[in-house]
Amino acid sequence: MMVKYRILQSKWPDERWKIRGIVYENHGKILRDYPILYSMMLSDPKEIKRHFDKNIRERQLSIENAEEALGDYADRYRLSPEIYTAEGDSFNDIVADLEERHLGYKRPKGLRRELAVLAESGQEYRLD
Amino acid sequence: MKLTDFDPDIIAAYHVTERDLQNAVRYITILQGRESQVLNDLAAGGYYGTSVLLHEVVELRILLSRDPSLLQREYDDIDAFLQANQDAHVQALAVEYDYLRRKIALVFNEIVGCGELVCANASTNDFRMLFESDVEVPIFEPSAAQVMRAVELLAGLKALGREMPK
Repeated sequence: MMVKYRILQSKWPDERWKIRGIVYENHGKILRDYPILYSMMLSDPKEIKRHFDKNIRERQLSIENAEEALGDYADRYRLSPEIYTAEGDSFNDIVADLEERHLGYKRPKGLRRELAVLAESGQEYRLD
Repeated sequence: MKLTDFDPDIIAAYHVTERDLQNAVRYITILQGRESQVLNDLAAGGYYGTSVLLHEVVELRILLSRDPSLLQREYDDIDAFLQANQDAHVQALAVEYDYLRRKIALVFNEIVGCGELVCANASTNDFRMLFESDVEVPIFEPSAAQVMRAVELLAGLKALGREMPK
């Protein structure tokens, strides 16, 4: 699978442009009303994220015109003009890889998921 | 801001102290500035303000258990630490939206799902994080109409201000 994405930057709280997120095509199974999705730093205000959500859903934005999502916050945020392509086995894998590469974090593996894998493998496991 | 501005049941259940409140204000101010909407929502108190306080208290307690000096650090360090410990944020979301669901049911006698509340009050970013997490919370993808209804209910809850009907 291939996913197109762009880099989101912000110049808050100072005037230095810094990477604050990634915007990518939605090839996942959820939120299909949103042709593009984003992963942003957790500390960025939720009212700004909701503004992006509203613009993406109402205007059905694509990765090519994703800057329209910035709307009222275009003075504080910008998108890379370059559109990149990422490849992976699944949409979730690609997003997880992009988040790790550009936002510097790795999604924690859930306990239940690990236990499920162990259960399927037939190995013995204990909750402690 | 004082603890009596918030839902006494939550203050008692979570043993929230003045120190927790001060920490929450400091944390929000460092990360989002003094003009932050979250800070305004917190200052408003009442049920909605309590949901904000609850989120910050749960998130901060987890973060501070991992780095007790966190609030003495600069913006960049706190920002990065939160990002690296996003499970704290997900736990806080689960507690916050469970509380909001219960208060909306109490005040408006209406059942609303976590999914629509998260999309209406937070973002699709938070929805996906909670949806894809292993946190035990009933969450389903909402329709646009459900999100709109959640927006109305949240506005109703905010409009109560510090009034907290039982």
